[in-house]
Amino acid sequence: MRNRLRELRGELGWSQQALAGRLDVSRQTVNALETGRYDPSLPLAFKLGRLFKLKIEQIFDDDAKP
Amino acid sequence: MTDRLNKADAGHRAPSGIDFLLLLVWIVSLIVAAQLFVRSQGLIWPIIAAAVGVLSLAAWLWRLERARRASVNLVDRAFGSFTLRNTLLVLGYVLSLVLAMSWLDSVTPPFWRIGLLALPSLFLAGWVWAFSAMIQSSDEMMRDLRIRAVALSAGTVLLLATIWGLFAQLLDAPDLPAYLLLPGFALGYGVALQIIGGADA
Repeated sequence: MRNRLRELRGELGWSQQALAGRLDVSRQTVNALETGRYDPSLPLAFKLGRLFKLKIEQIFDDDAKP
Repeated sequence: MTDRLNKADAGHRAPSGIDFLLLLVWIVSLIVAAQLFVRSQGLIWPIIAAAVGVLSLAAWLWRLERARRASVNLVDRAFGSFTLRNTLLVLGYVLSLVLAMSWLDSVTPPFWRIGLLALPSLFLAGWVWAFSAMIQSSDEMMRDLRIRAVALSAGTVLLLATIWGLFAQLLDAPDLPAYLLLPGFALGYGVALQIIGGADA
C-alpha cells in the first residue's frame, strides 16, 4: 500500500525516531511503513491520522479501483 | 534532506564503539578467567581476569541502563529492559551450570544435588519469561516478525529433534542431548528473525 508518511514527516522536520516516539513504535516499524513493506493495523492508521490531522485515506492509498 | 529525515533524535543513543569494546572485554575476560580457573594455575590470574570481566560488565550494564532511561520511546525502553534481563539471566545460567558441573560429584545428599541442578533451570525459566515479555511489549510489526521467527525456529527444532529421536530409537544413534533444545531454539530464532525480517529485524 502506498502512503505519504515520509513526505508528511518531512514537512514537520521529524526524524524516523521522532515519529516512532510519537507513535510508540520502533524506528524499524516507521521505516517499514514508509517503504510500504508493512501495512499498519487500523488502530495505528487512526493514530497516524490523528497525529498528522488527516483522514486515513489522505495518508494511505490502496490502489483499489472503485 | 534525506540525511535529516533518517537521522536519530538527540536523546536516542545508538550503541557506540565504547559499548562494543566493553561487551568484547567482559565476554573475553570472563572466558579467560573460567579457563584459568579450570586449569588451576593459581588463583591470582583468574581473580584479576574475573575482576576485569565484572568491572567491564558493570560499566556495560550501566551504559545500557542509562541509554534505556534516556529513551522516550516505550518500545525501545522495553527492548532495553530485555537486553539487561537477557544478559543477567544468561550469565546466571552459565555460572550456575559451571557450579553444578563442578560440585555435583562431590555433593551426595539428593536434596542438594537436585538444588544444584534446579538453579540453572530457574535461570532458563527466567529467560523464557523475559523473552515472552519482550515479544508482548513489542509494537505490532516487530511482534508479528518475532512471533513468525519463534514459529519457524520452534518448528525446525521440533522437527530435527523428532527426526533425531527416530534415528536414536530405530538405528541406535546416540541419544539427543535434550538440554541443547532451548539454546538451539534461541539460535534458530536469531537466524529466523534475520531471514524473515532482514533489515527490519
